[in-house]
Amino acid sequence: MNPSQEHQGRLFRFVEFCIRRRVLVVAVIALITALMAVLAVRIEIKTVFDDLLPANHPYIKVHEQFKQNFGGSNLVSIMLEVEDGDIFKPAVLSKVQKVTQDLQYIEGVNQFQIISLAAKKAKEVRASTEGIDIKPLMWPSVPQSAEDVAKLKEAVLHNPLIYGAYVSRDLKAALITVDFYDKEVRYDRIFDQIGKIARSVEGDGVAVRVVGEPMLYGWVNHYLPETGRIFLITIAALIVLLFFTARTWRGTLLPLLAGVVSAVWALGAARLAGLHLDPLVIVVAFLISARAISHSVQLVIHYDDELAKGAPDSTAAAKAAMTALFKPGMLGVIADAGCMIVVILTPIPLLQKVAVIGTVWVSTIAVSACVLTPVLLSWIRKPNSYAHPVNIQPVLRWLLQRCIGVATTRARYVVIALTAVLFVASGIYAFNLKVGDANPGSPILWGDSRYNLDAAAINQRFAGADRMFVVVSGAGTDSLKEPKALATMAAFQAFMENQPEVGGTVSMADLVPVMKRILREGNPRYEEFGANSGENGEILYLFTSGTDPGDIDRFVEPQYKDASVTIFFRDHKGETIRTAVSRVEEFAQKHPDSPVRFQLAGGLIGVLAAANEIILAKQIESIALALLVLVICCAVAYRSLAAGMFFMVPVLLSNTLTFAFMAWMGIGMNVNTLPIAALGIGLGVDYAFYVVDEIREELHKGNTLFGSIERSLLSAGRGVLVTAATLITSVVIWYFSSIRFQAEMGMLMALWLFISAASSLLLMPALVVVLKPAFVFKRGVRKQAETGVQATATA
Amino acid sequence: MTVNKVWRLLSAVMPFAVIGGLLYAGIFIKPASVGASVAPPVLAPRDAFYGVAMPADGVIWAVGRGGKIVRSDDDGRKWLLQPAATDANLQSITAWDAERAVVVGNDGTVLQSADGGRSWQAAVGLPAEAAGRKLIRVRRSADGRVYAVGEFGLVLSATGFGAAWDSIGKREDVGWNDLAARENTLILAGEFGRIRRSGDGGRNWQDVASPVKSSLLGVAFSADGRLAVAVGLDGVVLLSTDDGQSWRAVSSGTREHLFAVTAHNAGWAAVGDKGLLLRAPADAQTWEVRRLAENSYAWHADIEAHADRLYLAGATLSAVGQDNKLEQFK
Repeated sequence: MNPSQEHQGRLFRFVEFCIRRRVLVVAVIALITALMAVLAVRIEIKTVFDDLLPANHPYIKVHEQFKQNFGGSNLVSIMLEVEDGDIFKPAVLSKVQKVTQDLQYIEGVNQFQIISLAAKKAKEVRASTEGIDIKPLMWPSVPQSAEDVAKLKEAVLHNPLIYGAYVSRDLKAALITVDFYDKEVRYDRIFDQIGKIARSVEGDGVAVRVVGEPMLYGWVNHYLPETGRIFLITIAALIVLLFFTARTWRGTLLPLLAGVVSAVWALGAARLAGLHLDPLVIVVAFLISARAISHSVQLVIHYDDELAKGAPDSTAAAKAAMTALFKPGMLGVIADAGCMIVVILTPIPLLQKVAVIGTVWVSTIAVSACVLTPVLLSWIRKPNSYAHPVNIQPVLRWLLQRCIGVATTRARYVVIALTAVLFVASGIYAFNLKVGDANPGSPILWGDSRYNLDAAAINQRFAGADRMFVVVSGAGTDSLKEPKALATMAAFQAFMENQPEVGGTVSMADLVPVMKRILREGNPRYEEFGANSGENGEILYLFTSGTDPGDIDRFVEPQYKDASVTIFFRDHKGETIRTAVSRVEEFAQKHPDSPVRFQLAGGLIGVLAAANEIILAKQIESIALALLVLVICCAVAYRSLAAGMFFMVPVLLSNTLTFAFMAWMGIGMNVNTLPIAALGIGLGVDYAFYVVDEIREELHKGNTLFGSIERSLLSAGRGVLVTAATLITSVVIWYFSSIRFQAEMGMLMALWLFISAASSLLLMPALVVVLKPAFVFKRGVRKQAETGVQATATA
Repeated sequence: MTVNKVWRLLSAVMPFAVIGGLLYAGIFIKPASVGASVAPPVLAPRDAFYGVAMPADGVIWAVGRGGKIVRSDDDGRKWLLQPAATDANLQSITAWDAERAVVVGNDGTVLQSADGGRSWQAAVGLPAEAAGRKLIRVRRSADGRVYAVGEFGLVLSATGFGAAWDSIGKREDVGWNDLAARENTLILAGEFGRIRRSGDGGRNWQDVASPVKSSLLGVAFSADGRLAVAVGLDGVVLLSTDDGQSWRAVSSGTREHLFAVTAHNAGWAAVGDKGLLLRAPADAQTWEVRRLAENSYAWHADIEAHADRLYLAGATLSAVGQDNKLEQFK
């Protein structure tokens, strides 16, 4: 007995066992499903910001060390904008005060980081006869008389920490920023509570706009019911379409059952492992369910064909289908799981969690489709009746005949040539793919969504809602009071501000000259640093003595050794962040004798910079290793390295087309899109396994090459056509999601399904004929087939 | 049959090559992020300019914070950064023509150029008093003489377009903020409202009684020399009709600081804090206060009149026409 036969023997015994003890098998699966269902319903759907952070990246270490004072990544900005005149009216100022006060009661809020015109720490510094007088601008009460309001306005105009930062340059808007303790952030609660505060002050000629990561993820949560509805509509569409094409209940319900069982097992397992589900990853869930359905449909169609060929009963047909499709099915499952698990190498917790859940989920298909479907099929009583009279088989047949025609005539060369052109062209275009976000605003939501409109409005009036802090460190205590250190910080700020996407910067180097100017009668010619460390120390002492302890903490640590330079960005495109990071390094290189050191980076932009760098660095690794997994799977399954090479063709094509499509659509590679891209890459090959394997089986049975291709396309090919058409039609529904990310991922899925179907129906048979890979042909048969082919090809 | 052999060899080797390649790519290729490069703009948002000069039609020369010297030869459409070789704040510039200019600034900085600013040289032979002191203004007279004033009573003068420098002030703990020169008459304006006058080019000085105690920041002669105007903190405007020998206060209509004044088109113009521009007719009796632009609150430290336009240096670098239309240079 050679290894292959032995393998066949074992498979045969396994299939025999499953069908004979079908009650036991189904009972066990049902029991596990029931247990998992109990767990699965309790899985949490939420976004955890920490999951986005690659913990070992140096930027994240800086971020974690300094975020408490210098500003975290969960900053929310609220803008109050007046329609007419300026904000200096008691009614409007009261609203600013109300928002500032109400924010203190939000869950997880960092009370020391609520800053606005009305905050206690917004101070007015004045020269007076006694020296210097520091008092809150608009705390504890709002000025009522026209005279007092005018005074406040003047004070604001004089205050560079407020004017331009918390009151817009045109005086038509006021900003309130609030930060949260990362560990206590609950996005849904923050979203609701801030939304309530915002609504309470809206109206009377005041518009309120809110941005920040908590709001963004709050919006995603807000749309969760809609996402659920779309999910259900998609499933409903799927049922209808499957029922329509298959004309049987088994062809409808069994694939669906495979999807449901897989989902239940995967979610239950995730709950067991203490993992939660990110709302944006629901797309991955659908993608995997789609594959469970595809596998199951293949089995049902094969079963139908076995019956049509004259299988004596349901049991025999189910056995035959399970035996024939076990190998390509398992190969698809294992290859997919392999591609998915590779994502775990990217050290971002969100991706690792998705990789684990995804791998488990894909693996469950081995049971839910490859075993459960045929076992249930064996029970079918009246396998030859149809549930409705509409028959689209002639249409499918006609299409499949065209595909057969391509493989068996010279048209195959056209297909291969076109594929080569497509591959090269998309490969070149794929280099336009950007890591990080490709467009301003959040790519998760549509451009005209409330959130993105708010972000655009705030970025237009103020320096920018997204922040990065760079830590500037001197040699020792008080070293940052040196004029040279301050001047270097100021030069660094000026340098960073040259980037058009940077709206502004702020640091303690901005405080000193302003204070000195005030001390020098308001003469701008003295808006400069003190002559020495002592003078700067006195100026800073004056500033801190007039304020509450901690007020200066957002600029500098108490020892004056580490300070922040906060950079405001108008967008967080990948390109913007990369440019900013490289400019920080460029500045450090240009100033080798600088008295201070620059440490990247904190705040939202710092965190995104770290994530983007990781994704960029790991991108090639992930793709290469995923391909390697695939090659190994195929090589082992067919005991042929050539098989690995052969199946790489559709995968590579799927890869380049996906990346080209993403580049064309302006979809950037980020923490949200990466796992889907990784999973989608494997999708390109699933269908090919079924088609090629059936060609191989037919050839081994002694059929001719063209005869084998015809049989394979009419059976496995029919399954491909049905599932691809059904799934593509269903995912189109995603396009109507309020979440742009889901809509785009829906389109990507449709693209993958299409490529996968097209390559398995047109390209793979053509390649089999042209390349004649040894692993497809039975030993000795190849020569024969070759001559047969040549006869046709040269005729 | 060699083709066949090569083909077979190739198909035998290729899988290993591909697997090796993938392993290599997976383990060793780590793309590093590359950011776009940014060309620094000549005029940046963080800039502050303290001095501006218009030595010829279309030529604008401005100096400011961090050793910045910029020049436009087409009335502000295009700007070029000039190499100052210092990062001290530059406070003032004066230019005889499009080639020759003197710049002063913090830390006793005096720079000169005779080639339109393509190169700047530190002045040599400066009096020892100037070392480390802040020089605030530099002014010239038509005959090639140049004067600079600054902290601690510093008054410098030079002949020959800045060739040989002398100290003509007294050592004292009061700074001078501006100087107006007309032939041999010099007027100094400084801290605590102080005014000092010389009728002989700085050999002898007389303190002049001042109607105010607050600092004066700017002083200028009218084109015909009959009037002199000084401006200062809290909207102070002083007027002299006798060559600077006596001064009286004129109502300016504002309490905001005024930082510079110049004669302009048979009238006067002054700038100061919070985006204010003041204009007065030739007699300098009545001042009209206006905001340069609605909601513009930028300060301006220097003003220079040329042809019909006023050129302002400060938190913005801009020009104002007769119609009061503001052009902010970018």
